[in-house]
Amino acid sequence: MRRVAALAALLSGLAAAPAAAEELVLWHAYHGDEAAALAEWAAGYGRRTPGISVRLLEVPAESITQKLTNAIPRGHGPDVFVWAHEQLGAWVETGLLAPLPAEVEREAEETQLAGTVDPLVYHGRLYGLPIAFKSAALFRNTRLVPEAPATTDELLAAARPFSDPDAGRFGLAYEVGTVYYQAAWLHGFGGGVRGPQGDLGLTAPGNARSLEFAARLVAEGLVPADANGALVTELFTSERAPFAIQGPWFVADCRRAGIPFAISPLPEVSETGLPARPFLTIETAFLSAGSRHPEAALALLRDLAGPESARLRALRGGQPVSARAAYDDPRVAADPALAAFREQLGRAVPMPTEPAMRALWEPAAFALRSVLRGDLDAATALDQAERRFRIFTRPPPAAADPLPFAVGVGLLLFGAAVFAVRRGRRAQVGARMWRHRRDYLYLVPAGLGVLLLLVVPFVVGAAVSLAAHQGGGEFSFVGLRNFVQILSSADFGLTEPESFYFTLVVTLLWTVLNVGLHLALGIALALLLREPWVRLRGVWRVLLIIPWAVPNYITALIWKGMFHRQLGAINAILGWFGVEPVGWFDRFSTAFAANLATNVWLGFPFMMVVTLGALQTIPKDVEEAAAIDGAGAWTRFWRITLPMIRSSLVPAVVLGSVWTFNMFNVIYLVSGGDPEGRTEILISQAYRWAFSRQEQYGYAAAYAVLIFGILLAFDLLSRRWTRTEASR
Amino acid sequence: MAAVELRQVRKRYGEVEVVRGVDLTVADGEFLVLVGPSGCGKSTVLRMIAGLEEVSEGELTIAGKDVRGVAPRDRDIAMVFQSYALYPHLTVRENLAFGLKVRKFPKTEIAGRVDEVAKVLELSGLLDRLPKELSGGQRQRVAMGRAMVRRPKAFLFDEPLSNLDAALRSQMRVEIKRLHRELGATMVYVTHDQVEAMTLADRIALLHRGVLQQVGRPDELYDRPANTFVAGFIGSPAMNLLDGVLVGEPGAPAVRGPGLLVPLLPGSLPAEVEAGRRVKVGVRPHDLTIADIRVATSGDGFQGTLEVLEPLGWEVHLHVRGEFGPLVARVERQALPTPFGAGSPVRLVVDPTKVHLFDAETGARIGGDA
Ligand SMILES: Nc1ncnc2c1ncn2[C@@H]1O[C@H](COP(=O)(O)OP(=O)(O)OP(=O)(O)O)[C@@H](O)[C@H]1O
Ligand SMILES: [Mg+2]
Repeated sequence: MRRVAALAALLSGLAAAPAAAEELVLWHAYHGDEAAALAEWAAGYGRRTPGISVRLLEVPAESITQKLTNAIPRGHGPDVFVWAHEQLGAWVETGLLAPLPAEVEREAEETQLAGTVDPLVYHGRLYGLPIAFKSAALFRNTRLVPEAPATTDELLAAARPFSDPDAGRFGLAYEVGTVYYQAAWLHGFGGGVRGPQGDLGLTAPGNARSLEFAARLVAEGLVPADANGALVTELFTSERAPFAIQGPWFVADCRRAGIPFAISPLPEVSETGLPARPFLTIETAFLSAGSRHPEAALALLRDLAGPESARLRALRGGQPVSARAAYDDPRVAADPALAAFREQLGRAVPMPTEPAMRALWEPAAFALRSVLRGDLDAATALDQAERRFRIFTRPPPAAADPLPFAVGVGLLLFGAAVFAVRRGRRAQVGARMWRHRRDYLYLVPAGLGVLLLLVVPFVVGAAVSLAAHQGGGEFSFVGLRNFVQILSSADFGLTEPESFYFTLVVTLLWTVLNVGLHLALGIALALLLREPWVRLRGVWRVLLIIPWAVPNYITALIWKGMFHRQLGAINAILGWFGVEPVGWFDRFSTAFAANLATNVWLGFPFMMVVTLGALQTIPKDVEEAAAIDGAGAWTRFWRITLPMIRSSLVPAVVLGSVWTFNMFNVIYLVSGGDPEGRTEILISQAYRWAFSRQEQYGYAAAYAVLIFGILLAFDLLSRRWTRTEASR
Repeated sequence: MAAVELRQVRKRYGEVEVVRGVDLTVADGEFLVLVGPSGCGKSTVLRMIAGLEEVSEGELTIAGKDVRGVAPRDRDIAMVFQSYALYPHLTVRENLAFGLKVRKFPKTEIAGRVDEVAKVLELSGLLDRLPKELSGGQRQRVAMGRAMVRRPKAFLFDEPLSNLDAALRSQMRVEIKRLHRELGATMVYVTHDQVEAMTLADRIALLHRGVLQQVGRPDELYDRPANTFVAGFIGSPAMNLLDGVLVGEPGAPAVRGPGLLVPLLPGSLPAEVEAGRRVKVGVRPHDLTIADIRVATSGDGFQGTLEVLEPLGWEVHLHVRGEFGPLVARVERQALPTPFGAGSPVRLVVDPTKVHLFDAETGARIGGDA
């Protein structure tokens, strides 16, 4: 009896729960202390606000924008989410964001630090509230350099005595090849990412001088040439660089390393007298347009941007928060790091929010790096970058009339159908299928799977290739214009890396060299493993298969690290032989070789395994007969062994070629297309068009269709080749 | 052409010794058949001669030259494999020409030799086919041809006929014999088929568990087997080997055993052999004759009952069981008494000159100038 009562109580409790509180979902990408601070605030908010509970969801930073774009229009996104403000334009355009009421905007102007609210206004309306801000600033080792430099001349003068590149010491550590950091110099030399009319572009005067300035830092050995975040951290925390340019996230690293350091605003550029102004990112709480509880969500948003939350996040999470009131707290005011970033806020440039900004990074980075390498002079590099940017961001072509096209396709399909039916009738396909109807029934699940997973996406992809993305998920039909543009190489000269033909040649070279080396290495090792004098055969075999068993992106990242100019194992080994450190990704040949080495490492085990299997099928006495007949090992391999395993190898070669042709991971992760996109292959080029050049999905889909066509032709050719081979 | 000589040749695979000290000389132009039961090491010996296996110990010469450490292709020998080992991706012509081509013979000479061999082996019409388009016998001939075109110093055959049916096998036997006569080449031929061995060989070398049992002309092995193993291996149906004890005076020796009493030829035993010694009596089935059971004699011969009678045309095989165990006799059908069938008592006698005697312990032949 008691048990029944308990159960009833439990059930009623369960039933009552959803009615008791409205649940608000908040997505963020914080982790560590910042996430803990946010969680503490959320728990407190739930206690303070009856009828509301807040559920936090930590979404990986790499995928949060993708997930938001997918989830919100389908109604299962968050009510509120926190992310950097620069996506704002694109999100407004695609309707992900709800604008905030005017009184909230007025309130924000009063309660938030100056400069943190304006960037969130888009076409006259406020979308989101600032909660924190981030920008780069100058970190200084106070043991090595007690005084903060006020100008770049002072900075360089203080840095110079510490520079000794051969000994791995540098005066200043920062990611010199990255546009985000270069932005500070762009602005400091009077330029920036906006032209005279305020539109995005790289034509601002001063930009060229800023690139020359950065190039000089590298040339003089003050700054490491291809520094990444890890190298900057390593140099500064091991006191091998007295200065670093980094953001607030770097504070924790420095404290952990226990070095004496101070943060100050970036210095004034001596040549112009202007302050070096870094890009400013506002961490913003956005109100989702898809929220089912907009009122409650707005209240939550305001509390998140409010003083209580800000204090928590500043103290527990170490965030440079944007709420003024937080700085009244003596403990917040006492944090020198927060004070320094607040000071830098006064001379930072908010990151543009227009969607086109996303297409600027790649051309700007190409220009910056080619100047750093000394390949191009700054003016030419910027001109090229501007041209690329214009091509990437030009408006999509006008919509074409789909009617003639539809008629053409319709006629073609009709013709094909008539042909198929007539052929089928002659062969009595229908009757035969009917006789085996039960067998066909068994095939239905697999058939459905193929239809849904292969045919439908393929048809959709092919259809997209005939369209142009107008932004915000809208497509317009453009016929074959994408193909014409790609194949006529209308926008780019044949030798420019973005030209289809340049990329095609690189891709073919990539595929042929890779598959050739895979085969050579795979066969050689398989033959070696077969030798009778080899001991521990099983162990070797397992060891040699390992490169294949490790997920290829992990391998690619490891190799990328090994090719690093300063930290990489390969340069270290070359160094033992007195070879100067090689900038692997500075030249096409070396960057291509780095990609090649990585992919050969990934690919040879497959060929080895296939060869080992094929060798098993050769009777031992055939090779013995050849040995007695007078063939040495070399002749025996070419005249007997290889011809006998060839038919087993052909499918592997076809498969390997297709995989290599589309080996996106290695290209993207190892060279990343460097230098200047010249090591891109077709598939990674398609990716760039889709995801870093203004979402030109139609254009990218046309690339994909062309890739499909090339591989289909290759497969058919290889089939014909093996058929004639088999019939002889 | 060349002689092949093995001196105390041994082959070990790890711990196991599979060829245990073989001494063998194959004379120039001789046809030597290496015979023995399965697994006795025949192929291993042959493969050592070919250079496909290393010699673990001992000496091996071809044409007087020490060939240990010499690669197979430099030994100037040819080998025909049981599986034929044709190159499946090459036509018959290319298969035949391969050995000459890799040895860089001039094109015209290659063509000439291939045509010649093809004519001899009746392969002329098949030259452009692939091995998979040939019958077993044709493949076998291609394998032979591939060895012949090279005109090597010596030919090695490893059971080349065992994949053929009986008719084809006897036909090819004749072929090979003719070939040997025409080429006059040294040939070492491995088989476990004693008919092949008897018909083809100039000399037979009988191998058992890696040890040579006897080397000699086919009739020598048949008439005077050196031990019970050879006696049992050569001849079909196999020689009967029965336990007994030597009895009687030196002037009138005999063997007595359970259910048997076999008189021996007086003076046929060496002097040191004494009465009371345990022996094995060997009698070939066709040396036995049926004695009239109703005629009471001294009781010599083999006393038993008929178990099975196998008619084989003009002769019959009698499977007889007595206290001595089983016994096989091969007699003319006309010689059978009537009525005669399973269960009938039977007594078999043997001519004393046809009796073989072996030591019961060692199995070695006693007397009969072995
Ligand atoms: N590679 C090897 N490793 C270990 N033992 C082996 C090897 N090759 C052969 N043997 C052994 O050596 C012995 C002789 O083998 P071989 O092939 O010479 O026999 P064979 O007389 O040719 O028999 P068959 O008539 O069946 O062909 C066999 O017991 C076999 O198991
Ligand atoms: Mg064998």
